[in-house]
Amino acid sequence: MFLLFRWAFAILPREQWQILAVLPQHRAASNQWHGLNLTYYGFITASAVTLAVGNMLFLLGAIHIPLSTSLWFVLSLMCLTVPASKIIANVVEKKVFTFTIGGASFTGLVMAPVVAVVINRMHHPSDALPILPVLSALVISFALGEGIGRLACISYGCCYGKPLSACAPIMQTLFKTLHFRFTGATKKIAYAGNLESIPVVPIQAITAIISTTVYLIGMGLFLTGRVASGLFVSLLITQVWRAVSEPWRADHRGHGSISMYQ
Amino acid sequence: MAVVGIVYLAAVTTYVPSSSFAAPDPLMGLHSLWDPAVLLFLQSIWVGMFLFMGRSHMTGSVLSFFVRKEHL
Repeated sequence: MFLLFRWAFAILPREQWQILAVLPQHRAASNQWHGLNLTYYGFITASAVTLAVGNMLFLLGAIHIPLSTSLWFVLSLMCLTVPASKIIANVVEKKVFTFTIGGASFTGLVMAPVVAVVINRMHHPSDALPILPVLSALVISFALGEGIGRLACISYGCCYGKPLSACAPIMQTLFKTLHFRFTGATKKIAYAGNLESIPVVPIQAITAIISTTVYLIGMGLFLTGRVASGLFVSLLITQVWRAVSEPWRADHRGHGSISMYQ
Repeated sequence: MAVVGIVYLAAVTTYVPSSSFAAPDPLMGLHSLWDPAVLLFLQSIWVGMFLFMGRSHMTGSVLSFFVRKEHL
């Protein structure tokens, strides 16, 4: 994980790590085609979500939850959270083509107990989902998903931090060498934030490190039987960090001094 | 949302009646993943998420194709 992050933090801010492939769609002028861009953002996000879901199924399997119950729970929750990532961004940021991890995670947290109760009513009591360990497995797996998923933000140049020049002197000293400098006019930080090639707080990297560390701690607690501790440690650190890290972000987070995501 | 999420889950775990569950067994967890249904499910999630998140709506591109005549 350390090697992956070290490599990703160094290269993903570069211009060539935004577009993974281009598919020709329809003709433009003679000898030219309009293309559909497939992004590293999608590749990394899909990988992060798949790893998180795999981890969730692993944890549920570890406490002897039947596979069919686990699959129903995960599938039901994803049917709610994936569209929510777009709908909430549309409502909060008034942008149609934006996704929000914060909105998706909030929807997942709120709906998980409801989905678990509904599934328990459909299954035999011996196959029921125990709420506390299920929530614990969910929050721990979410921490893994967010940890890896933030690499997608680095490749797309979204969820970016404030320019160092706008930060307090202590922050400038702290991130003097450990900052991000995004290149490429199609990165979001360039077209939406006008911050191309400007040193910014590496907020995505900090979130990735915190989330992954929380995941490892949570897994240790869960697998040693301390599922409640796993839940609350993972929940508190990931969500408190989400709230306190907002002032260091420079991307549009809706209107008002306290954002909806906090 | 983050603050509400913490308060909400704390309330849920306080008020929802606790039910018994087996002690975590990592080997059992790994064994549960080694199932064709799980592997196909995870592959489907990857493909679905890539199609949902990976098609850029904010950037466009123009391509041109040509024959490399020096290789003829």
